Amino acid sequence: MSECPHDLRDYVLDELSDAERREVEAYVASSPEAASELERLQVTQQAMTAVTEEEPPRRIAFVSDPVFEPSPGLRWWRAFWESAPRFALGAAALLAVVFGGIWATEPTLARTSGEWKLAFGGEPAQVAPVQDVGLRADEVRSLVAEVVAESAERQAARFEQILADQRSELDGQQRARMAAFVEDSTAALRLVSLDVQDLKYRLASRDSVAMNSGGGR
Amino acid sequence: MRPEERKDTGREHALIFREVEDRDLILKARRGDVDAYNILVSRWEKRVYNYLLKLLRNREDALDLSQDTFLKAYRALARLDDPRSFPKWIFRIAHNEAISHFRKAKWTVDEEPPEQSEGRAVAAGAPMLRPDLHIAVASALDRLPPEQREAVVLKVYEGFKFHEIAEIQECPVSTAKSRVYHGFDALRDVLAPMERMGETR
Repeated sequence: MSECPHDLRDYVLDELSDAERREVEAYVASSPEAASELERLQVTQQAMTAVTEEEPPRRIAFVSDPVFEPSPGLRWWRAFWESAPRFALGAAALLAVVFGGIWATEPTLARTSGEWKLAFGGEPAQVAPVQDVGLRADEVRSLVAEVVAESAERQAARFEQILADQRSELDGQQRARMAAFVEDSTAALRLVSLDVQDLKYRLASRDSVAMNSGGGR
Repeated sequence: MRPEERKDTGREHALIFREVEDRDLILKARRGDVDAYNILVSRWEKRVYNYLLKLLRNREDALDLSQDTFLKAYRALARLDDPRSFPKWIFRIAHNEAISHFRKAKWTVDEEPPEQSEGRAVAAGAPMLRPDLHIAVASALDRLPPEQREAVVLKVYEGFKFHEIAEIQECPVSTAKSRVYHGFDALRDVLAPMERMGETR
């Protein structure tokens, strides 16, 4: 035997039958050169597999059928919210999306809301056009934050109910996954279901205060 | 695969009992059982995510494509003839997602830098053991052409056979073998250099 009967890489990469493996082992036992090469290959594989695999940043889970067929609007909407870490940080983008989204793309949101409703069983807030009162970006930001905080409480209650309904049908593992998924989505939905009537009221109040104080826009 | 010879690397392998359970889940999911599908997803998401992460070198993209992969897989479940083929089938879908992603991004191996600061590459929750090794492996993988890198990942991390890698990459078996060999040789030269070139540690 002057040559190894099989490729040493096949041995290390688990492509050989038991009989073939024994042939390689017999050869390696008699050849220091082959033994050295085999060790290099094994070290390589061990080095590679010693590196721990990462956990995905979020679990992946699905809900009822309509959400499997997301509309382009819904898909974009979800992608946006899942990428914005916190609404405080994404305030500038939030403003563009909230105002652009609610006023300029109202049909999209209505359709989106319909699908969220199907998916999560809750009734999303009604969306209505609001007059542009020309607020500064930071004023709007704080207004939105106020409204969102209140809306979040309502939405959280709704999700608790959904989870309670699901609980009876799902096992423990599923519950945790649903809870995690809903938790992620709750943050998104808190923002999606802005109570625009509230916002309209606040904008109007703000406006009258500004007018009465003689400026400050 | 021979489970009894498998070294414990902490990775999921297609042990026989798991195949049987996956098969049940697949059959249920095909009939519209979303809960069953979610369990199936929970078993495979980490593997698919890490595979995509090694190709894309970006966590957000890897997660997005993972979600797309499982969404498409659910829709296509009816076309999966043999549930035992699920592993290579799901990776084929993930592979196609990666290819589409690269095409859209007009990514080439020369343009896309590896993720900055490999020292932070391990996610929260996974203890950073041997960060220098992690960096060495990640860098070595990144230097490979994408087809070789993918082939090596499918072989070493996912345990697929050459013919399965060929199906996933949609290439001849000889091409898949060649990619694995070349990639693995390159990694060997980085991670286990010849002794006469000095200490590797």
